[in-house]
This record gives sequence, structure tokens and C-alpha cells, in this order.
Amino acid sequence: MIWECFFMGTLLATGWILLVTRGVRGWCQPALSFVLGSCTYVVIGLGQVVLHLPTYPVVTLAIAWVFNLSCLGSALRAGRLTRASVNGPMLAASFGGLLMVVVTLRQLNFVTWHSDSFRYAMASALIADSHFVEMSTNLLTKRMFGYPVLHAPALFIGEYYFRSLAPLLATATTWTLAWFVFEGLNTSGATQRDKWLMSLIAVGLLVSNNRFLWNSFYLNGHLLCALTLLVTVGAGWLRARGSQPRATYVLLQNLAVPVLVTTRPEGALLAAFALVPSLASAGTSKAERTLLLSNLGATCLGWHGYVMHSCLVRGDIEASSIGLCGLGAILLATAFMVHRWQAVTRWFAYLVPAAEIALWCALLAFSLVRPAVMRSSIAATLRNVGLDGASWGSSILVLSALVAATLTFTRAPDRTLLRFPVTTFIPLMLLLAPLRGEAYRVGNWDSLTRMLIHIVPLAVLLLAASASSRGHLPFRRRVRAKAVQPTMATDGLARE
Amino acid sequence: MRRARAMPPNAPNTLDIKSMLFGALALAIVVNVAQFWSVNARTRKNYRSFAHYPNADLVAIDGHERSLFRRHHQRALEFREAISPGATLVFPADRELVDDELAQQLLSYGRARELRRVPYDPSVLGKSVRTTKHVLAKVKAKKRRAREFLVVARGRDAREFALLRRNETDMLIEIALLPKAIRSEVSP
Repeated sequence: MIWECFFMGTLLATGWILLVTRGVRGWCQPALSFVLGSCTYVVIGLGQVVLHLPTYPVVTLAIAWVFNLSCLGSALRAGRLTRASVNGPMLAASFGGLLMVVVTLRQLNFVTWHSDSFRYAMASALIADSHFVEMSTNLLTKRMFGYPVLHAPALFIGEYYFRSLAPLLATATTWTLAWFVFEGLNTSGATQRDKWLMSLIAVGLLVSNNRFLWNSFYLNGHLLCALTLLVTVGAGWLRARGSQPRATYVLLQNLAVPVLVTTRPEGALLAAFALVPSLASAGTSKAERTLLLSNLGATCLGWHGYVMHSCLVRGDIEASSIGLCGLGAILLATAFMVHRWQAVTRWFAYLVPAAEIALWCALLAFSLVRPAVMRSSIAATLRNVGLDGASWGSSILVLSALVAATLTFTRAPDRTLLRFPVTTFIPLMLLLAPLRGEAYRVGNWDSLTRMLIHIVPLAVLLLAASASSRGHLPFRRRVRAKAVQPTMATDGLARE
Repeated sequence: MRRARAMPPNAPNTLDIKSMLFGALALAIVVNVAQFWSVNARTRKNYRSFAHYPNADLVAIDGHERSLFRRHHQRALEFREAISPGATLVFPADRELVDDELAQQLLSYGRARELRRVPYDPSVLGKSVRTTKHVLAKVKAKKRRAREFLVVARGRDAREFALLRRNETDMLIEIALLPKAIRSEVSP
């Protein structure tokens, strides 16, 4: 129990130091600290793997603490960390609360699993004993690194997983979502009451979802993927909305992206699609674009290069790793071009429609090449989602209907940043079926069914963020003909 | 990026979006809550939103005789039950000669501590080895193209094992039991 408390405390402390030394205050601190701390830990571990250093968790923790202390030291020297910048009660409540949650969850011992969970635990054990080179091609390409490395220190106490990690990630997801909604509505000038109410409703919608709660105890990387996707997209959206401090949002995005890439096999594609609107946004500076592109490119090249090399040593050729290495190289080349020639960014305005069209064309092409796989996948997905074949109930149907109605009947500035990753998710996931050469199945064990959680928090954010949007009727002219007096003008709308 | 089209605040097609959205999302919460327990009731224990287990040992969680976990990791579990934790394994350096799955299972769930890669051919060295005595664990091949698996040692406290192969059987043999010539090959 002490070891688990120490590890979770280290994650929280790492993120807290990163936030406080950048002057971030407020009720977002505990959740964002845990998210940033977890991401930093994964990034340190990733560095160890790519540089062929031992992957013992003690080494990772030692590097994390050296990093923490050097951050603290430099902030103190530069005068960025003063007594006034530290919110004592918030700090005490965060660590006290974390301790209580860990102790309670260790007693409750809730866990949900599936056969993949045993593979994740196996990967954790190999990382913990620094046997990473013994990972098979299957384990490297499917279970990857981001989630197992966070559970690896549990082997110290003879367990294969931390009982509190998944619930803490779920809490961080919920809390971060609430804060994104609150801060997003804040930039639209919504009233205090509306901001709190909508944040609470967003949290309610997420935690009342049966599959979200299942994922909150599930030994799998889905929730970490959902959290990092939410952070990547949400931070980009808030940055575009002009929320401050801007540098913190860039940091959040840049730490979440490597975790997203190394948590799920489709993570690199998800990260690329999540960043497209951020890169296309007129408000993104040249330096930010270069940083985002080079970060994603370097992570893809670093991780998938390592996987490709490990596969080649075993005599295997992994097409997906080769493809994603190529993507990494292209992204790095683009980052270089953006840095060198400003004129390149003119073309970024067409990124969103081009990516959307390319995705749908690819889906159409693969449907023609492998019609049977695509037909079976669509049929299975419709049964899973529409006829409750996979324990989602009708929640996905309801959520989809709400998203469709909101996108059709309302307009909001900068919403493309939230809309694009949501609307491209389904074609992207369907495209993975022919790419892996296997159709999706009916039941709880189906991959796409479980992957749907990746997009749920983001869809809820999209809905809640639309509270300050403008109404838009497609049959506008007819309404104008019957012109009536305006019915409402919220504070947010008045400011817009 | 294209921004939303600017509309005057008193545009006639402006709707009370905020109230409608509050209502719709509240309704969605009610729908989720209403079906929550019925979804749990018709789902297997490991797919329910909450499932309590007596401890955090995966082997205990799904370790019963015909479980998924035991089926997938039987070789490692047999090794773990037969041999004390911390054993050293010697495997051929050529990774194509032995399934990687076996090495990673023995290192994770089998509780072996170390794995050394040595250049030898397990089929060539295994030809002259007899394993009628000291078989501590045996896993029969249930699938086509799968191999039988034996753990051969004098007792639970054996420390060093080499992987050899004979007649479609993978054998983890305590190095001390091997003939001197083979012993020098696997532990130079």
C-alpha cells in the first residue's frame, strides 16, 4: 500500500511541479497534475526503451525525481516559485485525497478484465524486470508501452497491476472534462451558473455511462487513450479560444501526444487526426506548429522505429510499424519546412477538408478491395451499438443523435477543433478492420466496441461546449420570412 | 481555419440552444441511469461495471482449471508451480528457433528472473537427452502444431534451466542434469 501511495504521489507531484512552476492555479490543478505526471513518467520510460537503457521502474522513478527537483530548483532560482504561487490547502487536499483514494481502492479491489488484460500485465512484468527486449512482436505491436509502463512498479509488491491506477485515470478524465467545459464556456463569456451547471451535466453524462465505469476499473489502455485524446484536443481548443496560460496548453498537448502514440496501435493515427485542426487553426503560431509536428514525428519515428528493429531481429516484418515510421519521417520533414518556409503554412488551411476527404476515399477504396471484411464489420458494429450487443445500452445511439443534432442546428467559433476528431473517428476505426485483415465482431470482446470509449469524453465535451453556441436552422430563409423577435441572448452570445 | 459565420445577436433564427442542450443532456443522463443495472445484470462478471475480487493476483482471479488465463499461459503456470521463483533460463540466441511467446511467459508469469541467449540449436542438443526421470511438470499439446512442454529438475529449488527440443517436445531441463558435453554447450 505504501509503495502504491508513493508511486501515485510521485505522478501527482511531477505534474504539480510542472503546473505550479508555470503559474497555473485553480481547481484544475489536481487532475491536470495527475495527467501531466503520468504522461511525463511514460515519456521518461519511452526514452529508456529507445536509448536501450534498463527499464527498471526504480530507474524511471529516479529520473522522474531528478527532473522534479531540477524543475523546482530552476523555478526557485528564477523567482517563478514563491509562497504566493503555491496554494497550500489545495496541495494538501490533493495529496490527502489521493492517499485516501489509493487506500480505499486497495481495500475494495475492484477490477474488470478481458483476455487482453493478461497480455498488458505480462508486458508490465517484462518492463519491471528490464526484459523489454524479450517482448514478442505481438506484444510490442498490440499491447505496446504506454499503459504497461504505468503498472510496472506494481511488480515490486508482487502484484501485476496497481488497483488504483485505472480509477485514478478515470477520475482525472472526468475532472479534466469538467474543467475543459468550464474554461471553454468561460472564454465565451457564459455566466458562472451556466459554467458550473454544464460542467456538472458533462460529468453526469460521462459517469452515468455503464461502459465508462467499466473502463474505470479495466486493465487495458483504452481509458488512458481516451484521456490523452481528450487532453490533446481539449488543450488545442482552449488555446485557440484564447484561454491562458497558452504555454501550458502547448505543454499538455506535447506531453499527451507521445502517450497516445505508445498506448494503442492506432494511437499515432488518432494523434495525427487530433492535431490536424490545431495545426490548421489560424491562431497557432509557427513555433507551436513546428513543436507539435516534430513531437509527433519524433515519437512515431522513435517508437515505431524501435518496434520495426525488434521485429526485424526476429525475422518478422511489421507493415504497420514501417508505415508509421514513414508517417513520422513525413511529419519531421513537414516540421522542418514549416520552420524554414513560413509560406508552407498557407496550405494548412486546407488540411481539415483534405484529411476528411482522404479518409472517406480510403474507406471507400478499402470497401471495394475487401468488401466482405467491411460488410461484416459494419453489421457487427450496428448490432453492438444499435441492438446492445456489447453492453453500451443505447448510450452511443443517444450520444450520436445529440452530436448530430448539435452540429446541424448550432454554430460555435473554433468548434472544428472538437468536431473533427469526433466525426473522423468512426471512418478511421472502420478503416482499421481491412487494414488488419480481420472483421469486427459482435460482443463485449470486440475491439471497436471497446475502442468507442476513446471518443466518448470528447463527444461529451463537444456537446457541453456547444452551450454557448448560436442556433442555426438549415431552412433559414423561411424562418426569416416569418421574422419574429429574438428569443434569447445569453451573456456568452452578447460577448461574441 | 474556417470560423463560424458571424450572425447579429438578434438574428431571427437564433434558438434557445442553452436550455435545449441542458434538457437534452439531462435526458441522456436519465436514459443512461435507467438502463445501467439492466446492462450489468445481463453481462458476464468481468464485463460488469463493478466486479470485486478477493485479491489482485491474476492467477487467482482467472486461474481456475479451465480458465482463459490458464489456457493461454499454461506452460508458465506449470513452471511457476513446479519451480521456486528466480530461476535462470538459457535459450538459443537465434530467436527464430524458439517461439518468443514461451520466453516472455516464463519471465512474466513463470517468475523466472533471468534469460540468457546462447548460440546453440535446441533440436541438435536435445536428440541425445533422456527425460524419463525428474519430470516435475508436463503440458500436453492441445492444439495442432503446438508442442508438448516438460519441466525436468531434481527439485523445486533448481536454479538454471536450458531449453532443449526432442520429437516436438520443448524441454526445460535443469542444467546440472545434462551430460557434460551438452552442459558446456549451453553454459560456456
